[in-house]
Parts: sequence; structure tokens; C-alpha cells
Amino acid sequence: MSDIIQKTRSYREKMWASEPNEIQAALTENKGTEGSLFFSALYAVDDTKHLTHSLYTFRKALQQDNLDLKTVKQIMKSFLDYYIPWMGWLKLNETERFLKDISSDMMAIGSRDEFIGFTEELILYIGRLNQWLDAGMPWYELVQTYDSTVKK
Amino acid sequence: MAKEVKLKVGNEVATMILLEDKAPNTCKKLLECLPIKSQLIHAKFAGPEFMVKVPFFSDMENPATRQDPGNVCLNDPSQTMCVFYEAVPGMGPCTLFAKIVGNLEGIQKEGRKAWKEGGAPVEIYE
Repeated sequence: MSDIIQKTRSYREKMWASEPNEIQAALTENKGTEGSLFFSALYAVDDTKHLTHSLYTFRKALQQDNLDLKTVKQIMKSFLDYYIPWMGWLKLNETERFLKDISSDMMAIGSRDEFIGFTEELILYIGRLNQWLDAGMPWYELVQTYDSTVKK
Repeated sequence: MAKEVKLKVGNEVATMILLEDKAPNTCKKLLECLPIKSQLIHAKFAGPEFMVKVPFFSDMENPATRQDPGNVCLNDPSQTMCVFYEAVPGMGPCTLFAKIVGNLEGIQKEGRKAWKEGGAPVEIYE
């Protein structure tokens, strides 16, 4: 296993079983309009979900033959560079640091198989992050409130 | 004889059998990753289903759309093990790779609780 895959995996394994500190920060400390917490929490859940889906499509593209690895790496780098400050805005500071750390290293990846392995570990990290956030949301109460409001 | 795996959700432990003849790659990848410690989230659209994040990928095998109570599937794009604790008439196809054969009642209890209370810890082990 290459160094970058191992490094990404070790980040992922660390946050898989124990809830990272940033989860509660994202859900309960990130104040928006008039001090509200709801939308910043919702954005954290939604944006990490969409990021997982987008990375999964990168993985699918990487499995195609005749792929221009250099171009795909550059697109992925631009994609991650866009998300890095956004993660900070969502108070997902550990993930912001993680993405910063790996986004520069990934440009040195030399083969498609290595890039697929790296992308898979990245997907698993972001996917687990999304699940931590999703599991912390009071969905049942939100559903009751929303449905009782719009069904009037 | 079908291989059995334990599924612990909250305080309930169920037994599921792996459908190795129908979804060999998915079963193999699951077994390679055991034990798995994770967490569930409840489905928001599908109904009586909860999802558990698993650390592997596996292409579609044995696709199932209509789900019976106790069906356990893999949704590869979200790397989730989907546990259907009641019948679900039809969502997008996913890999049916296991069935709960022991203590489905306990899993149903935990599933209904999860809709109201959120993500319980989950363990999958041999």
C-alpha cells in the first residue's frame, strides 16, 4: 500500500469508531442568522453527503480505460481546494486540516490504481463524517415541526 | 451451510446468514472487514430501513428492489449496509447479500426507536 493511501486510511480509521470533536462544533456552535444553528448544521450534513456522491463519481470515472490521469488529478485537486475553506466555514476544522494535508500529496500519485485506492479512502472518510453528522441531527423533531407547519 | 454473522444494534443481537452463492464478492468483502464498529442512521424516504456505514466497496450483485423484512443489502454508492426491518415495496436496486434469521423482532424494535431517537451504535462480527 502506498504512503498516501496509508496516510488517508489512518486518518479515516481514527475518525471511524470515535466521534470527532468537530461534529458537535458543527452541529451546536456554528451560528447563522440571528444566532440560529439550524442551517449551518443542515449544510454540514448536506454538503458532506454531496461531496461523498461527487467523489464516488470520480471513482467511477477512474475505472474507465484510456483515462488521462493527470487531468483527473488536477480536476480532483481543484475540487478539494474548493471544499477546504468551506469545511472550515462549517466548523469541520479537523476535516479542513485533513483535506489540506492530502490535497497537496495527491498530485504525486503515479498510477491509476493508486489514485483509485486513495479516492476510496477519501470517500470512506467523508462518508463516515456525513454519517456522524446525520446521526447527530434531531430529525424526528424537525419532521414533526415541519409537517405540522406545512400541513395547516 | 450458510455462514452466519452477528449484527448488534443498540442492545439487540441478531443473526444474519450470508448469501454467498448469490452475492459472493460482497460477502467476501464484508468478511474481510469484520469486525466492523459503526453506527446507524434511519432512512428518511424509504420507510422502515436503517443504514450502517461499512468500510468497503463492492459492485452490484443479486440486485433487489422489493425488500422483505430482514433483507440486508449493500448500497455501493453510499457504502452503506441497508437493513430493511419491515417490507419496502420498491426503491432503487441494491445488492441483497444477507438475511436476518434470528431476533428480527429485536432489530425491528431498534429500527423503530432509531426513527425517533437517532443513531445507535452497531457492531457486525463473526
